Amino acid sequence: MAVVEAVVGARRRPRGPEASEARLAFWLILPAVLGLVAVSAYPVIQTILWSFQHYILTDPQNVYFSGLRNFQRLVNREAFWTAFKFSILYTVLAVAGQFVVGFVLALTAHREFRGRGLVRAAMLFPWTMPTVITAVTWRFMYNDQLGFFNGSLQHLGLPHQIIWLGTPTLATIALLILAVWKVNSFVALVLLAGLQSIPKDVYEAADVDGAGPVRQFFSITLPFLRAAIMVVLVLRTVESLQAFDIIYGLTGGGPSNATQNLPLYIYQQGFGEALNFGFGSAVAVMLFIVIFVFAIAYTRLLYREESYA
Amino acid sequence: MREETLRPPLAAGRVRGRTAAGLRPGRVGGRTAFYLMAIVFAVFSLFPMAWILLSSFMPLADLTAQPLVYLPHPPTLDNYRFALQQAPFARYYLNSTVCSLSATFACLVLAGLAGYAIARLRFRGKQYVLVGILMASFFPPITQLIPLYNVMNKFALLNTYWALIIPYTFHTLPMAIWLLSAYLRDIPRDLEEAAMVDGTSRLGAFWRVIVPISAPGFITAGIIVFVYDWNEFLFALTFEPNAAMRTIPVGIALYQGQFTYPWGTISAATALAVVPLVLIILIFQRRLITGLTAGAVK
Repeated sequence: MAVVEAVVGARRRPRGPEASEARLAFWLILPAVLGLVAVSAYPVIQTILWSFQHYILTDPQNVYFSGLRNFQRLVNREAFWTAFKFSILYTVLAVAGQFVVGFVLALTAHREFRGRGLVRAAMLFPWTMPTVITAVTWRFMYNDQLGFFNGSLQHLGLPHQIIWLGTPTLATIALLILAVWKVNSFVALVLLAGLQSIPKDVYEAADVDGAGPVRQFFSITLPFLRAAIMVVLVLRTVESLQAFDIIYGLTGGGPSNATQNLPLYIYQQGFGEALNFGFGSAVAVMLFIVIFVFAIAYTRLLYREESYA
Repeated sequence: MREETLRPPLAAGRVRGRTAAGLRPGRVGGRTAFYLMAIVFAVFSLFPMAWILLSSFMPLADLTAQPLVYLPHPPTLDNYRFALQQAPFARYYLNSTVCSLSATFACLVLAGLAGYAIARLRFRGKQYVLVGILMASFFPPITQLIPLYNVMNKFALLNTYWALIIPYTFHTLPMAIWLLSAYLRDIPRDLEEAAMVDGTSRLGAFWRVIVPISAPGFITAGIIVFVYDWNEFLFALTFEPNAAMRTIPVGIALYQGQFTYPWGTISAATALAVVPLVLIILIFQRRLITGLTAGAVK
């Protein structure tokens, strides 16, 4: 700190205050920018470059430019398409579930009531917990013999031989329930912030005009929340496409790779037995493209809605 | 007063006001249904942790009992003893603490300096810097994993704390800069100028005047960053192949006990892992909400 101060101070004097401010700003921002370039930007660029190379970690002598070879192999692999489809399926269903439950939760927590602080603290809980640990916890609860769910079903006299993580469909449902549990509170918090920015007098005016609660919801609440809704949907979609911890901890991608999404596939190819950095990078590039396509679609949607508004 | 400007409209909810359409307090029936829903949500959010807590005090006989038992009898601390003494969770706890605290500190220092420059200094190209920083936060970590692993390997940083401290510091940096520059922008210029008139340099004024005043902003950013670091899994899994260097999330995810179902040990370890987070939620609830929603709402 003192050194920077001395350097900056020494250089400041001969120049005007404007130049000295710019100079100081440069030195203050430099460490952050250098670090971000090294730790965030460089790896992304390197991934793109490696996707066009033959590069297997265990065979470092044999690295060469291979054009689109990795991508050719990738589109011919069933495992890639399984992961691709599961990524999309998981994202669409998880985001839809998180959004609906989160919205109801936001409307609930928006009200003034005794104990609201408690409900809000409870809401924060799932979101603040480490994702992978919650996934392991749920795996424990989903256990078919000793788990909380089957055990409770048995106490209730219901069918309790459900092998939650044993079939692709059930494992997907189990994963989606966990995904909704984990994230609906975040959705709720953002929507709640939006709800509370709606001016009260708009509702009062609607009351005077005799608009009912349903009408008010669709004509006031929803339109006012549009920006918050878009933010939530974009963030959740991008995050869900990158989901790794939650699947790794709950199903590990199983049963028989049925719940393996693109991030798990990247990990398996890059760090599993394959250690195929070139191929793993190509899958990463495909994931990039998927995220990009979703982002464009949302931007289009938002733009169109705005032009009608 | 600065609090008000930084905090998203959530705080405004404190002011008694009208409620969302469609869920108005109406007749008694509506009110009961409403309370029921609030309770359902609270229970839904908390029951997995409650179950883990109960399980952590159960002897093995309870954990494997059929049909399921809900309460430990007798409650025992054996699982905690085992997790900390036989199983290496004390070590994992230490690893997590060192990495998270170091990275949070480094991130706050860098974000404080950069955030100050962005909020208070005039320079050309500021918007490009901001856009660049924001873009960096959108790169998916999974797409950076392989090259970062390679770099860590080349510099012999795998299996050291640096392999996590460095990426954590910079992965949380955009968020921290974003939060802090918004906070620093609202501090009155007079305060700083008064100090500078007294002969203090600009950075001296930053350190002696701005930082103490903006402590709440630093705390908010620090909490968000710490929670991110404490919970991070992907890098910790990949950059610390040596079992002794695992952080808590990795340690729990990869724990293989000597029993078929080491749930007792895992439950105890999970309960311990969650302690700092529960404290943060209880003490800093509003700051946490602020930090989480500020980035999204702005």
